[in-house]
Amino acid sequence: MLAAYVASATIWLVFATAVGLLVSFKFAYPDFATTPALSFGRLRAIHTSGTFYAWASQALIGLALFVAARSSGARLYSERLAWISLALLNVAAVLGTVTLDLGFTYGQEYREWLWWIRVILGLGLITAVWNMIATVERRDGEHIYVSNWYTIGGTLWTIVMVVVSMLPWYQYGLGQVAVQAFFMHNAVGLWFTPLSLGVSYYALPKLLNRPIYSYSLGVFAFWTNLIFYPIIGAHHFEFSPLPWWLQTTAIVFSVAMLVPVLSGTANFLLTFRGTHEWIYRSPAVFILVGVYGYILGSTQGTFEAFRSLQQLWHLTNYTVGHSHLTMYGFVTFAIWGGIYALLPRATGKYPYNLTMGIHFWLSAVGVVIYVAALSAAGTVQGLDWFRGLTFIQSVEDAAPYWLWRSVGGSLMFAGHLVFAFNVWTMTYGRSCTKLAAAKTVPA
Amino acid sequence: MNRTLAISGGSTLIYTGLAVLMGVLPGIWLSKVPPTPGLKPLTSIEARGRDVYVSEGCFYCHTQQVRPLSGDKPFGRPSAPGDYAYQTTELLGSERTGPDLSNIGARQSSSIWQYIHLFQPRAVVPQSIMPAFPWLFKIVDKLPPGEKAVPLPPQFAPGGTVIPNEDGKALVAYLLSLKQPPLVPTQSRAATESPSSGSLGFDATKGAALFADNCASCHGAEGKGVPGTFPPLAGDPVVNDADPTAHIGAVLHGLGGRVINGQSYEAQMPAFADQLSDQQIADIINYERSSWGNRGALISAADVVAARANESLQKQATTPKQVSPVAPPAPTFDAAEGSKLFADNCGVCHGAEGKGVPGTFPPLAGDPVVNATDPAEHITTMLRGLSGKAIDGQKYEVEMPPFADRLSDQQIADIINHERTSWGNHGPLVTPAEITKLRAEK
Repeated sequence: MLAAYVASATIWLVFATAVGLLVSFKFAYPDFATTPALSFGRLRAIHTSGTFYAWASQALIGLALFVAARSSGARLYSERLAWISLALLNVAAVLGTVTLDLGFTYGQEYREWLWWIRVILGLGLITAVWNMIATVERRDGEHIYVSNWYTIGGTLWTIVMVVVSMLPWYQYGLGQVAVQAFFMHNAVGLWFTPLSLGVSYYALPKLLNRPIYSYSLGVFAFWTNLIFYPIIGAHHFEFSPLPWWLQTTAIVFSVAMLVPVLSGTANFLLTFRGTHEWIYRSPAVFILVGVYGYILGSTQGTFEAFRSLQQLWHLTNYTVGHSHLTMYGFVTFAIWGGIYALLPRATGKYPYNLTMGIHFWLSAVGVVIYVAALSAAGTVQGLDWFRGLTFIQSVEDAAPYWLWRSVGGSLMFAGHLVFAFNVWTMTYGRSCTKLAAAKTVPA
Repeated sequence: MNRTLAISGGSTLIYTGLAVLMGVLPGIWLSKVPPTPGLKPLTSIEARGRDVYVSEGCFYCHTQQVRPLSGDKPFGRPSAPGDYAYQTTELLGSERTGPDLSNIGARQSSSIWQYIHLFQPRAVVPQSIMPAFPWLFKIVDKLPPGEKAVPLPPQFAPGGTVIPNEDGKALVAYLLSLKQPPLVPTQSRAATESPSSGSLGFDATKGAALFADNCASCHGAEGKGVPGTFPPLAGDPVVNDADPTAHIGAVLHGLGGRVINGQSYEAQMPAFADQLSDQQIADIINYERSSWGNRGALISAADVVAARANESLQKQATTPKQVSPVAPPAPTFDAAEGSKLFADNCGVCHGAEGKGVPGTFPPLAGDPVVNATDPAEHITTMLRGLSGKAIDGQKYEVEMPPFADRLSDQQIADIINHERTSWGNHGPLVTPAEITKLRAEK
């Protein structure tokens, strides 16, 4: 079952990042592939929605279901339901990709899919969370492992988010801007963050063979993340016509986000303590990068929310670099760590250390180049605007950095091909029967 | 069971509450923001164009939110909440790889330019990285009746005649509909940028930047234009003429359908009178007159002021409601117009009854300046604003904005005459010519 989720997600990862790579080359060669179906304006949404709702979501749900069963010392509540979730997620992703390419879009970042496709996505989430809760209910003791707090909570909130983003009554003119400000940031922070953290809270102790540093610190971060995060979305619309109080509240709580971020990071790093001699040969290193991506990306987000810094960086490529630092440096690396830790436990097949290393270094070096290039590009753009140069000057000045972005992106994509090979070695031959039969190890 | 409930039920309840608080409620309130006065709903073709804009993903690179920051100045005035009343789907965007489009209909009002730019952006802006949208056009052998061909520069023209298809026309209609209606109670350009006095000094760097922002996309950074579509400025007789009147007039009021050097140009040049200050226009004109081998006589901001004033005199000479088109206009005024202009521009502070707000905004009823026989101070106050002046022994902290850039001479005269004849005031009337005279003086 886990293998099926991972395999499907991997196909989407390769596809969506190939699209991203093509899009990045269009900055240097704008007249390359000039057809509607291959135009920048359509492919960009396919790239983001594909990585979000197909790659990361499928992988995370697969891992979360596996974690729910293992950590509760129980069998998965319903394997059939898990298949249905996977099918619904895939149907939504295929329909979403095809309709976007034909030019059907809702025109709101991260919720471009037509409403009925988002209903299918929502159904996929509902069936998945139902399965998770029911599995956790089969546990022996009173205690629920902290991973399940994160995965169940995150999935339920995302269902609320999908509903809130779809109802039309309060989405006219500036009202829609307010909803978008709420949605676009929540979609990242209350879906991918809790699930990635939840999976890591299970995978990391397994890889290091020691318990997580503090269970209660994890629960504390869970509640503070829940309370602070939903309020900060409007920091994407500073200086916009949205009400000043909404923007200011968002800035205040962006600072408050340091609380869950620092406590979560501390918890992980303290768990890592004393492992540095051998960690670099273990898949745990993916999670280590993920933790660094989490703290870097999140504190960067906090700082970027300050008006003084946003004057310079807002609306520039800096934000694109930031989103890749978090979605890739944090979420994707955490997922990889989770897959390398858990998939072999489900299938009994292990990847080669060499190819795992190649995958790691291609992706890590790639994303560093990528984020550095775009942070520099954004700074140059912002300074150019600030100095009152002509707009086209900022385009010319950013061009060399865009080339570096493509270089970084190419390395990342090459890493994904190696990752796909690793998934193939971990699954080939047998896959879905292993989960039910596997001996459970309570955390 | 209890723990499951806390996690799933409790946290979801909290999240739903926060979602309502931060998403739904602001959404409900803000959905009711009334439109900015002067904002027009989209026509059906413009709405279709908006759908094309959405479906081609234009909003990924172009924002529609002008922030109150110096870097955003070239794009228009800061966006107001009411600007979006007719914009669902909202298209504020999150990234600015291309320029902001909030006011593109005013900044680049030439549909021909928009068509060329969409068909092949690099035909008009060589450094552009915008994708081309050839599928918004069709190539025909013979021009259908009622259609206009897109005059592409030869090196970008495919064989055959290019005309926009329905989607292309709709998209351009939408782009041209993006015009910011003026906001009355914000500070005017003159307040932020004091035009230098009548000297002929001009700032070549500013001129170059303004030219690049406003003119280069058609006339080219080198002033070469686009053959057959946008006229070159290098070597142009109007630009090199010692008398700058025609040159200033073209920048102020735009140009269309003119024959230049035996070549007829179809594209409409937009008017810049409302978008640029006198000093900015002078800087652009001087830049043009001193670049690419041109040797026109330089001008001052005062020349632009005079040209603006001339224009409004000419306009009023041709309007039928004027009594005598030849003689200097007698001090008559349109009371209805005066009272409307007063309500639009002055009533908010000074009150519809001219009573002001005690201690904050001075009353106009019985005010000595308003009733003075010599209207000079009254006029200059209107033109240049006022701050920190004690009136009748009372000090007023709030600054009065200048109206020189916002209102024509006729309009200022109408307002002043309204004030001078209302609420028991008995000041003698003024003529637009008096305003013109005082405007030119600095």
